Amino acid sequence: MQDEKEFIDQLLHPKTQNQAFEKLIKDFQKPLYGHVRSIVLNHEDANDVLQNVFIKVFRNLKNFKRESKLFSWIYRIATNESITFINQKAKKNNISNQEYAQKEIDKLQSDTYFDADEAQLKLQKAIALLPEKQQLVFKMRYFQELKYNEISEILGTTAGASKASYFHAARKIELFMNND
Amino acid sequence: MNKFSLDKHPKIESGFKAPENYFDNFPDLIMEKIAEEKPKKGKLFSLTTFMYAAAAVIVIALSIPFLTSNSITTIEQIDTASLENYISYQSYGSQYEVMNLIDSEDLDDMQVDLDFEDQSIENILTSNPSFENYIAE
Repeated sequence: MQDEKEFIDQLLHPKTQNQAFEKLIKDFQKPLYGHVRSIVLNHEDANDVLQNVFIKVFRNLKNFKRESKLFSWIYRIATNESITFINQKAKKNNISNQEYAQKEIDKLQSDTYFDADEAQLKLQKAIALLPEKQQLVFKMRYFQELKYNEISEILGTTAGASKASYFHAARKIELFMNND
Repeated sequence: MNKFSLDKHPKIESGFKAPENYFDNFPDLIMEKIAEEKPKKGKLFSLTTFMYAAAAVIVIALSIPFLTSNSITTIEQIDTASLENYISYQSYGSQYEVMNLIDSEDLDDMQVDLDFEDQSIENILTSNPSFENYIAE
């Protein structure tokens, strides 16, 4: 895509870099916040991770290979940062990632920045029980409404594998939602 | 009661929200952090460091014939500590002798401005403990 090529050139050129990077932040901050928040769950952590993501993106601009899209490269960094963050938190507390997520979801009920009804909370609980990959695919597809080929580029899998992960996840979530 | 189905049920939003004005201030916050990170010009080595480094190199060079002529020990077998001890206590070339060999023009030539980030300098220093010995004093 010509526009993306020009934009990347601007990001790499010292004279235009700052202005272009500010545009990148403005374009990506909301969807990326949603993505990171859906993984780390509370706002404070999402804020920390998101800041690190943008700083990491800036630091690594010179290493960006134009083989992948800027969008999927940035999402990949955000996904990795978020998962690393969860792993570290869980390890620090001597619990599994799944246990950590369940704890964070319990805290969500009193979170100022979580405005949800019973169904939304139940959905979050159902997602937290899924294997990591299914969680990621489900969140990106259902909440972020990304396409399967975009998800597969971010996660480094095939679109077919992402689709299969989503359907497995959806089936388990439906089962959970139907049980009281 | 109808069974829950993700396709048929109205979309359930995530429920996550950010504080008010969070996204208005966020780009400035990141740009500030990046500005703080940009490389600051600094001298990686001071003149004194170069003098000691040059002294060390010359002394080591002068020591090679002696070390290699030893039939039992080869240069590979000598550890850093032994080499440093040798240079400190056995060598005939003092720092002052080395200093006499270098005139001010040589010193000017050695002093260069290197564009390194502070972080890189810190990394080099922390990952090379023996480096401290050369820049001490």
